[in-house]
Amino acid sequence: MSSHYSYDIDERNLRLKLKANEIPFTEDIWLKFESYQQTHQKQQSIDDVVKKFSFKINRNVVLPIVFGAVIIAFSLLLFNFINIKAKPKIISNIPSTTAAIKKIESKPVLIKKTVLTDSTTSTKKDTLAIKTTSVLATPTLAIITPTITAIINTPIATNETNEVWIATEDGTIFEEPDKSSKIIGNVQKKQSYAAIKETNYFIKVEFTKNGKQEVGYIKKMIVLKTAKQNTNIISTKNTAPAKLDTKKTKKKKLRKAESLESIKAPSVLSPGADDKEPELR
Amino acid sequence: MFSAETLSALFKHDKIAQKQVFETLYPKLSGICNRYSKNQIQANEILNAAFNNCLHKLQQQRHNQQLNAAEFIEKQFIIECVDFIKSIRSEYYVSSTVYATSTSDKTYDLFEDSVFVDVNTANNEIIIKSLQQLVPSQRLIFNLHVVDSYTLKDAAQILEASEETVKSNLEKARFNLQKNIEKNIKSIKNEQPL
Repeated sequence: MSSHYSYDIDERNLRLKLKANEIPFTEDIWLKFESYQQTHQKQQSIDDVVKKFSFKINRNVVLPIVFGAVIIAFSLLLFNFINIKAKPKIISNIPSTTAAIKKIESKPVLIKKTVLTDSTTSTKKDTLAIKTTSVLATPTLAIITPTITAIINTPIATNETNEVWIATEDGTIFEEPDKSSKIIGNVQKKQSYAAIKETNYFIKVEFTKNGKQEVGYIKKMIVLKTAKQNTNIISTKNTAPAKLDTKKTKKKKLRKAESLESIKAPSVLSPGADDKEPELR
Repeated sequence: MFSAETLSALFKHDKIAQKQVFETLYPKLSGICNRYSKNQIQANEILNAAFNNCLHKLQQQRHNQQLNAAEFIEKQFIIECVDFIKSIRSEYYVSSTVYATSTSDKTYDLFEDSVFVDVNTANNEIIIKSLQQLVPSQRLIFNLHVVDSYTLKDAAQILEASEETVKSNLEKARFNLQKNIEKNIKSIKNEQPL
């Protein structure tokens, strides 16, 4: 605004003038208003109905809705990357599983067993034959205990064999295939044993102790596998030790080798030309 | 002003009663329209729309025993006029901030010609023309506060603006009105008779 500005308008006078300003009424104006009213009457009635159902949408409403939608969309996006399916568990602790097996073993399972008995009853011999068949169900309880044999501290690989093993040195027979287990007998040198089973480090043998047949385990380190046993031989029973063929065979082989050394190689040349070597030209 | 029969007929959407009321109030209402609008065409539009709305509002007051229909219509008419002008957002919000004038108008000084012009001698036609040349926001507050005697607080409420904004617009309106009256008086004086 200008610095020279000074307000000179007499507002009271102006107000009176403006208030007094009137335009005379004419019929045309009323006709115009009537036409306007007719066109806008229907629209106004619709607007009045709509206004009743209208609700204000301002930023206080819009912003939370938008944020909520964004958060939900983002969380759905993240859920796509997550695999909810449980992965198969790797059993690393075997003793725990064996303990679980033992627990199962201790719990008896009750199973109701129904025995169906068929009984036919005839009414009377003389009367008309009206046979009624009835099925009687008598419930009986049968307790079944699941027997799961858990082999604990046993080597995994076991083979049933019929081979004969000979002790190379003195040793002991164990109750179980474990060197810390109870010693139940002694192994004498050059004694042969028929192995029932074979594990990684032990062989299962039968032997007699005080007239009783017992089963024990001998270390593989102190025995030597010889050959397959005949089907008749089951056990050694602490009898006289069988003669060993192994050393003899070794000796035979050695002799053969020695004899082979002494034998002269057959020559193609004539016998007279033994001493002379052929000249090279 | 209106008889009870006329009013009851008015509440029943009677056309004759409506015409009677329109005819009676038209001179005053048309004066109000001219003040609030930017030209005669807009004044006619405002008159039709505002009076139609006033009749609807009057229908809602049918149970009010102490109702002065003429006074109610007049007051409601002013509010309707304001609403109408405010509803033309392209005019009300844009032109109130950007006043499109020529460069010569911007450098206009009241006393640059060194000719004293008594603005109070201006006739109704010049005053209304000068008022219509104001931007809507300034025109509205000037009409509400100066002519229709609304307080600044009430005017701010009707215009949905702060009191500071309303005050500022009022000062601008006063300056611009004086400038417009001055300019219009000069232009009429300088007009050569045919």
